[in-house]
Amino acid sequence: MKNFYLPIIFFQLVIITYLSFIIVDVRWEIRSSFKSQEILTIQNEELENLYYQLLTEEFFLNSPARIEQKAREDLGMVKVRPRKIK
Amino acid sequence: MKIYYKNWRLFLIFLFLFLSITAIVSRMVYVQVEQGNFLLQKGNNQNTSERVIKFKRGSIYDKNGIPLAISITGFDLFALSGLSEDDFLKIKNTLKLNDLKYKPFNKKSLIKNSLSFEEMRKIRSLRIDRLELEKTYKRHYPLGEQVAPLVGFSGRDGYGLEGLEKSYNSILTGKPLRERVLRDGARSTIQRLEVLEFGENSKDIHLTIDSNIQYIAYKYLVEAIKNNDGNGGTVIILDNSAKEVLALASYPSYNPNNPMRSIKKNRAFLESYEPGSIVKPLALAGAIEKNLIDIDTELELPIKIEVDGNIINDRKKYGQLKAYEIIKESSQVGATQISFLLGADRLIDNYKKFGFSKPVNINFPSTSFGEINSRDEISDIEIATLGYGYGLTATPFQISQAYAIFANKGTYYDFNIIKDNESQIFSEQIISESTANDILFSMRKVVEDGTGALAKLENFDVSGKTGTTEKLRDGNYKSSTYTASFIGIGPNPSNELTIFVNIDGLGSQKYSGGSVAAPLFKKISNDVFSYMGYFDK
Repeated sequence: MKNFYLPIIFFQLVIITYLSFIIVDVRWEIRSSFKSQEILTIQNEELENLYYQLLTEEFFLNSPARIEQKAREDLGMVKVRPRKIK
Repeated sequence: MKIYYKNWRLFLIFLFLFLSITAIVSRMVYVQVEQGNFLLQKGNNQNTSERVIKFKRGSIYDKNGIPLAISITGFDLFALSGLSEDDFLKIKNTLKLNDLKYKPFNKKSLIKNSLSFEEMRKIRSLRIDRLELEKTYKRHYPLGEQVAPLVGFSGRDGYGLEGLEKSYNSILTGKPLRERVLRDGARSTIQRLEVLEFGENSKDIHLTIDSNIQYIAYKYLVEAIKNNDGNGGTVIILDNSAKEVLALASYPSYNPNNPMRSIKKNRAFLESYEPGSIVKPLALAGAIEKNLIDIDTELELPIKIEVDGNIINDRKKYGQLKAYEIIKESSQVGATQISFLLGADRLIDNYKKFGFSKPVNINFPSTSFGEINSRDEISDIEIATLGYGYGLTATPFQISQAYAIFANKGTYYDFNIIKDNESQIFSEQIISESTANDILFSMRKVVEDGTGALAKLENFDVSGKTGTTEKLRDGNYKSSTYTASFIGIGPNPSNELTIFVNIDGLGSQKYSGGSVAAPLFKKISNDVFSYMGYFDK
């Protein structure tokens, strides 16, 4: 009887050891994924900041206020009144 | 006994080991059973903690996607208790904080706020334990004072304090997420253990405002107020076909990016005032609708009339005027006669139909909706003054919406300021299409050769009406302070825009709607019509 139980116990020990390794591996993966997620979140927010900066810059460069200022001050232009096209 | 006696040393060793093991086991049992929960709690507190994740506040955009309010991510750097002087000096040199001096840290203390991403990376690369970096969001308003009274601002805690930032706070903020996390020795989060309360992501808001039109409105408004020594004013531009607000400028304004800002109210929604002659077309519309008068009906107008001992007079003796000419000349005597034709109840009811003394459908904090003198025993002089815009108050936005009825063929619409395709726009037929056209006709005469002649454009036909009001202060009308208003609809025949302008606090030199507000309308409408492409039509 002793010889009958010995392989079963051994097999269970192997399974337990294997599962323990799996648990350690999964935990490590969760932690590294979490860390990657945090890094990606920060990168995303950095890109968002850049996006807002570019969007604002684009608006500023295209704004009628700036175009008018450039026309008046740099080009010395005078505002022309619109005329009806016939 | 003999054996015991001979091996007494061995006995002592066994006894010592036995007592030691007993002591250890007893201690273990005590720690496990008696102090188990307490120590487990303490251990968890060191490794786990609860954190609240606030979502980045939603942005506010104009109709073309230009940002009006955005949140910029930054980091606040805190020293935890026990931060050494060496580590402090490393931080000081990295961030170039030359003025900062070391003193022992006994509690969590702020070292520097609003660190950039680059500074944050530099600090992290130092690998100092007793430090904490907290993510923060700083609100930025790219258009500054141009839209400040409308958009408002939010505080450092991310809570909307003024304007649309306040009224749409719950949408812009979302609901924070609460979770329990596992931290390592350096207090960095390494794993999410459980979600304690699910959050709701913040949302962006898209307004119907066009930043370029807003700029045109604000620029000319400020210029006109300064040139005429006024102390404030409003410009409202409505898109009659889309039922949207295109611009809403209010002066004085403030810079929302400056933490020391002093708040100025949004006059379009909050400043209800006696509108003066600008309401005359509304009264005439009521009289035409009740078949009491026709647009061409001739009325005999004396230069002055006496009502309850008060004299109501015109600038000159007109003799006979047609109904539309009463609007064109802005006759007080003519407006009084129209009021008497309608009578108090019908006149007041008519104003209410046009949206006066009712709340507007814009979600804006502390919006005023004016009032109408509607006492049971209303005197004749009160009926007369109601006809030419005294004894009732309305906000610039209410007046603009009321005039949009004429452009929309007699139908009242609630205008939107938020782009939201799902909500239904409230509408109600107030007057017939023919009455609306009659009023537009009489308003066109105002601009052609009436009181609003200075609003006449070279290349566009517009309809308009002037208004001049003496300001009521402490129960008396101060003839030295005036509010000049002008409202126009154009370009004819499409009538797609309603443009309202007013300037407040004018002195006695130049103060009338025709001389101050009409030229401002002309400048704004000329640029806005061209910008919107009506030039090519």
